[in-house]
Amino acid sequence: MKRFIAVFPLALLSITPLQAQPAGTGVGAHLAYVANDAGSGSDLDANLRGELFGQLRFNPHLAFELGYAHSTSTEEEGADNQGTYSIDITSDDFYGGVRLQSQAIGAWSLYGRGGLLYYRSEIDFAEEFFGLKPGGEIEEIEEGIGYYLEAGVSYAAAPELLLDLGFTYRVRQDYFEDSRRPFDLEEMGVTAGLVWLLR
Amino acid sequence: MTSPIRVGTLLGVGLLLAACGGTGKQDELRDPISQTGISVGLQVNLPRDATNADAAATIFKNAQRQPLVGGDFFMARSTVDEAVLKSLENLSGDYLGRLAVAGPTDPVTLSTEYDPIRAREDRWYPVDELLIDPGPNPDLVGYSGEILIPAPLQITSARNATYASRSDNIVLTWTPGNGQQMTSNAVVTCVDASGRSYRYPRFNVLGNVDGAGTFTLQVNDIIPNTNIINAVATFVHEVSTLITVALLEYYSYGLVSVSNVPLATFVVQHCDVDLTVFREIGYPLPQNVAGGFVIGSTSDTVRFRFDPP
Repeated sequence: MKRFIAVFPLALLSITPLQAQPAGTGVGAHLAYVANDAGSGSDLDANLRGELFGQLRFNPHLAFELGYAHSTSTEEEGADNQGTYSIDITSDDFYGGVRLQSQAIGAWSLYGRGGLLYYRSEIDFAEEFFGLKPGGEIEEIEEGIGYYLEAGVSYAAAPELLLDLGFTYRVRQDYFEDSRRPFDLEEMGVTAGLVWLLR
Repeated sequence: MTSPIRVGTLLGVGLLLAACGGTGKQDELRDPISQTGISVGLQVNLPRDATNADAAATIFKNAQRQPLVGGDFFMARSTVDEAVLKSLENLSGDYLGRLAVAGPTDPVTLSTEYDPIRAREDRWYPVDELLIDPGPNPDLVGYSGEILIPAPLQITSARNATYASRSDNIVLTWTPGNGQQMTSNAVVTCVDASGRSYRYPRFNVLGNVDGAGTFTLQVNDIIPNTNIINAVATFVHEVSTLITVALLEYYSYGLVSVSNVPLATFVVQHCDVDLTVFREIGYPLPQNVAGGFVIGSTSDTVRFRFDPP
């Protein structure tokens, strides 16, 4: 991150043309700010998601990526005549997919990412009854699969360094799939990060 | 969309104002709330020309209103529908629901039940998996009353009338039916010269007059010129007020709290009155219930104006 902070001002000033990177590898990191939606009636708050990934680049326009993402807590608190409740979901994803990179125009190019993920979410649930009955809390672990999509622009701050800014959309599917009311958890927001291209 | 706070405000005002009203007649169908044990107020009302009935309920323990929480709830069932009654304001203890009925003779059962999943059916998440189950409150669950709705009621007078004096007669007429008692609940909205307004409910017992097909109220029974905030508070007519505001759909109107009612200085310019007349039949209290009432009713609403010179 420190390196990112050091490089970024220089990147803004430079007009370094993107060097067409041959096949190789790379590593990257993204940080996203996302809104959460679990379907009709849900009101989960926004959270952050950090990603670390590696890539295997087949040519300048196509790479395969494997990564890990951690989404910080997204929480909802509600109340009705039965009592009050809170739901807190924290997720870890392991994902794999492709990254497409357009032909550069100067230092700028477009990119897209997409693939499948495996998630493991920790769900902390608490419920109280206005002090009229004893409340409590439980923890549930949910695991499943999903997918992700991302699109944005890349800026070649240096021949080996891409700075990404894009929109991200991620779905973790089928929470509590055997229950009466299963749901998918969607994340949508903005993401920024970097990719360090290795030879 | 309903506004529970505003309904609660009206009910709060109603608690203070919805007293016996001005007719001086005794309510023959509503027992007092018992100081000890369980009391209930259960009423199912079918408005004129409606196919959905309003069910309202409240439960007391040792004269204290009891909110139903953590899986306890009121359920209304007809032969064709069922509905979980909702508290309009959390912890208010007043519950209201609407359900289809097959007709005026369709029995409706109102009961306190325990089902932790059904009670949370409005929540979006999987309530069968994410659930803290504290168990039922044995003092409050298991009471049930069956109610038959009386014959339909149609008021054939006073509609859109204007009255100029508090001593004017409001002559109500209807086709005689099978009711044991007639009551009325007026929602009164008064405005002064500066445009300030306040709204309050006013309950009146008309008596066992269904067979006569007529009753004469005075405007003063609904819009007294004394300090009406001093009216004796009573619980037993709140359920009627609950039903009245529900069927009039007064949820979205600007209701005022008691502290905002300038009764001492309020000079009425005019008042609009929505007067709902109920044809009521009383039914036995559930077993082991010490007070309250179980009532089936039909209703019709007329609007008129009090416009003093």
